[in-house]
Amino acid sequence: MSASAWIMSIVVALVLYGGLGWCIAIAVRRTRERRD
Amino acid sequence: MPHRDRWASRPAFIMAAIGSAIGLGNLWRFPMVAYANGGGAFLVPYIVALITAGIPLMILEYALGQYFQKSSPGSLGQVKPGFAMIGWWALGVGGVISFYYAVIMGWSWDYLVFSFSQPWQGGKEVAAEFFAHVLRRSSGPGDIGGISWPVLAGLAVTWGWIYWIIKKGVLRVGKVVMVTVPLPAVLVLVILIRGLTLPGAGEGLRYYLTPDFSALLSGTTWLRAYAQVFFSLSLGFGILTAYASYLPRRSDVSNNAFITSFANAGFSYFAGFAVFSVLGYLAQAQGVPVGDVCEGGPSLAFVVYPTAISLMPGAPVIAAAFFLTLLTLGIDSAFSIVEGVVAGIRDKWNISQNSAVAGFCFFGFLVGIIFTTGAGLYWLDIVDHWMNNYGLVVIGFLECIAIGWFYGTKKLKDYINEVSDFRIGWWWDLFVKWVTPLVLGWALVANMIEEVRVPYGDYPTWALLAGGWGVVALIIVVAWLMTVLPGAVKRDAASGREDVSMTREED
Repeated sequence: MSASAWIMSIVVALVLYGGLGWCIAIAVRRTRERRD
Repeated sequence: MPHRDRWASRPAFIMAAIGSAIGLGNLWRFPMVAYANGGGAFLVPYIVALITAGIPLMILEYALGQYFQKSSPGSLGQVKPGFAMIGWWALGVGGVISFYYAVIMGWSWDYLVFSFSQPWQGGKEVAAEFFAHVLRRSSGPGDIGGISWPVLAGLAVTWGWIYWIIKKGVLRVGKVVMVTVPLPAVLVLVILIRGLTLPGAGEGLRYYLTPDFSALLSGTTWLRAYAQVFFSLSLGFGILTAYASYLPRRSDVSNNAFITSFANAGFSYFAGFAVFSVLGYLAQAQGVPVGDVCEGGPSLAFVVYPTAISLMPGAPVIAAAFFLTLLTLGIDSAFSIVEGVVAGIRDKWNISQNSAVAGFCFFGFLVGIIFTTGAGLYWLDIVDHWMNNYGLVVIGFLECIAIGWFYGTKKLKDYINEVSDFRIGWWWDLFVKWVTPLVLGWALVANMIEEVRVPYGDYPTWALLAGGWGVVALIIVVAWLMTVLPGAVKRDAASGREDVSMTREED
């Protein structure tokens, strides 16, 4: 694969999975705060 | 307010929403659309579309259901009584889609059984012949032919499964999705690992990911990205509104929408690796370029992929894993559509969940029989084209207009910000009022122009009129009837207050 394909794949993965992880982390934190 | 079913927990709701969004299209549509529209570069408009249309509309649908505590017609009917018709239209389109979606799942059952009873061997001919044999395909939509009994049996099993899952409401749904949502992800991972160990996988991935940035200058690429996001997120079916109506009013809205959208997009992206690694192997085994084996839609799942599997060592196991993936991907989407319709019917007539689900599932099975005949695949293709291009797109457009221009985005945004994990800003108003309706309007006009220029498929005009515009017209008539028919009077046991919504008498 070309360098541009690698870079694109990594950036997309970071946006999608990083975004998902970040949102889940907020949800867990807020849910705990509400429970406490 | 009358008693309403509740999700057991927030994760149960999120998993159910993710399960609804992730369906067969994530596996057989997204990778091919990406490949045909700039490869890796397609992911740029896709993510832009996700942020500017998919997530804002999902926030809107969640907020509607959660705030009004009603299904799609009831919620939109609270904005303006006549708008209940948009909700009924959404449920009508969803209902029609469920009729043939269950048939596609019926094919998957047949393939799964076939995987155990007779290992795939012999390459393309076997897969293509089996597809023809299972479907008993006739010469055209006018030649009904006979019923395919294996498909009919698969259809009955699918409707029975849907009935069992939702007959007791969202509590059972919450338990089922804890298995049916992660399971296909694990199975796709198994297929991906197998695919990556095969010769030619690297070439397949090169086709999938190599960016062609010139595609970004084409309006079609952007239109396809918006369409992919819109169809993939279960928007415009009334499902998300119904699901959110089972959450307490003080639950989060915006973060749930972001989680659902990112999980759906992440799965699509991941599934593309599994699909293209295997296609790369198939291309190498057949000595052709990867582009020659790329087919989207049911052909990918029921002809191309089984062909590739048939050439692999350990074919029966991979075949079983693949068709189990299709079934578990499809079932969450299928029952979520039915739950959306059932929620609307129950809100309207206050009948029991079991009766509404049983009635709809039986009706769906009867209607689905047409798609099990020799002409079934032709009718399925025609109806699917119209439902996607003129059903869902119009609903999304009208929802944005109803909330953006009649109810007011500020009012709903204030509620969302009050209850959510994080606040949404001015961008949401901009996307709901302007960007999303403009893009959906553009898609609608482009589709209609294309329809006039080149009639869809090689079908006779009468078939396009009956299965396309005819079905759309029928849904509109039914939606109008459902809007004007009087509903049942619900009485809150605690307050004794009447709750008669969604009926014209209430105007």
